[in-house]
Amino acid sequence: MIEFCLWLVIVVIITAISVIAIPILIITSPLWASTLLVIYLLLKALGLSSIVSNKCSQIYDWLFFKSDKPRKFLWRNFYNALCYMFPQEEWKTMNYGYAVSSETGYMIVLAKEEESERFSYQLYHFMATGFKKTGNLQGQIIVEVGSGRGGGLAYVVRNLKPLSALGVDYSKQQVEFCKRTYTYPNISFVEGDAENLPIKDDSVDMVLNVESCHCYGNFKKFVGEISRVLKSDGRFMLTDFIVADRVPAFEAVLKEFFDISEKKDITPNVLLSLKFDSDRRMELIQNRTPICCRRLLKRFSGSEGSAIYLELESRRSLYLAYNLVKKSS
Amino acid sequence: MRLLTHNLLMCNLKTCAGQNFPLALQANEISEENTEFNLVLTQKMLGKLDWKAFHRVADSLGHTLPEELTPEDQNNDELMQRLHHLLFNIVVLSGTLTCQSCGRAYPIDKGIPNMLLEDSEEA
Repeated sequence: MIEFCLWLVIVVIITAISVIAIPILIITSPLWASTLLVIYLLLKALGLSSIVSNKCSQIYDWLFFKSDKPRKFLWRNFYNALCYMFPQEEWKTMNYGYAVSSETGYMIVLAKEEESERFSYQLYHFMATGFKKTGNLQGQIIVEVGSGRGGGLAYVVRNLKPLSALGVDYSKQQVEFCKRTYTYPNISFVEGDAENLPIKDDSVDMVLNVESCHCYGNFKKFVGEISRVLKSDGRFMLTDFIVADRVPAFEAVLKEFFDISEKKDITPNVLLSLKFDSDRRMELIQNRTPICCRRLLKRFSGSEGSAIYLELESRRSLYLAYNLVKKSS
Repeated sequence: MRLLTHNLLMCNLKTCAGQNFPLALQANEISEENTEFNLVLTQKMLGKLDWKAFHRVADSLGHTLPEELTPEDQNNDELMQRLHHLLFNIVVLSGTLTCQSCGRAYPIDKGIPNMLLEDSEEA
């Protein structure tokens, strides 16, 4: 209800801006444009422009990566909008991928229709097989928290044959996309919150979480929930990018609930994947997205030169993968 | 939503304690799919099911099942076919899942249960 009211307010504001404010802005443009120009020149002359720019970056960083409620709200609506704008079924995964160090980066044999998103599927394969240690998941009940467009979970069901798989996601649009795209009898999707999982205690053999937990407001609550739903011998396979300075705090939370059975720094593999996949990602953005969204999408795409690529390349952020075993209570 | 999924879902409201599993199902619209009978898959699935919860939800849809499942039942072909049908072919398209403890109702729309809580309800 609160969200509906918020959207109503946003629609009213946008309508008011379109009808009333835009003509006024155009008429008064000589006044405010010149004022803005003077402010910009003053900031530049006084050497303050970088401070303002840094402040804006800090606000962006806080909103998308550090805040609690705003972060959840923003990511949920970002993914809802993304799925609304791009309902095409050929785009099934959303992660930066995993490539091995070789001429092609290939790690597994894929079906022809999976080939275009090869590196994203390779990341799922790497994680779901416990870092390439097991060949299948037969007899297991698995859950993916933050299942997104569902392609990764569907890949796991097709190729690693778990008994059943449940995808939980916060974005209604994405869950609807998954429901109409994947029709295997043992895969299902529900709308749910990573921090309040609607899953009963001690019921799941393996939880997958792939490049999703940076969107969560309360990481500790999320990890506690995973521990609650896993069986006593259950495994939690977690991977995401993390700012290097925050890794100790991140791991301290994990260690409250889990033993770290194995940890891999896969930053080089993710960077390789982004290099191999850069042209495809740029082509998708260039040819399939409205011009107004391209700048933001390029920022998130991870293509060579994008903000996240540079973060990983400089190792200010790391892409880490964890194989976690539930602590005995 | 398949009954297989129902077997995992519970109410996670902060005020809810005790009987938050299984959720009571009110099905308004159901579709029946036609997946091929797979005895081994059905038998494996039964080993993982919360039988009481499954029995109760099947009963609410008008399918009477044995109170307890014996090892001999696993070789009862007719029963296995019925269970396969209930687990994999019955899809609830719309309805509600209601917590037996606190009464919170979760809607099912287009076959998808919406298990999200309002901010004020979160634990």
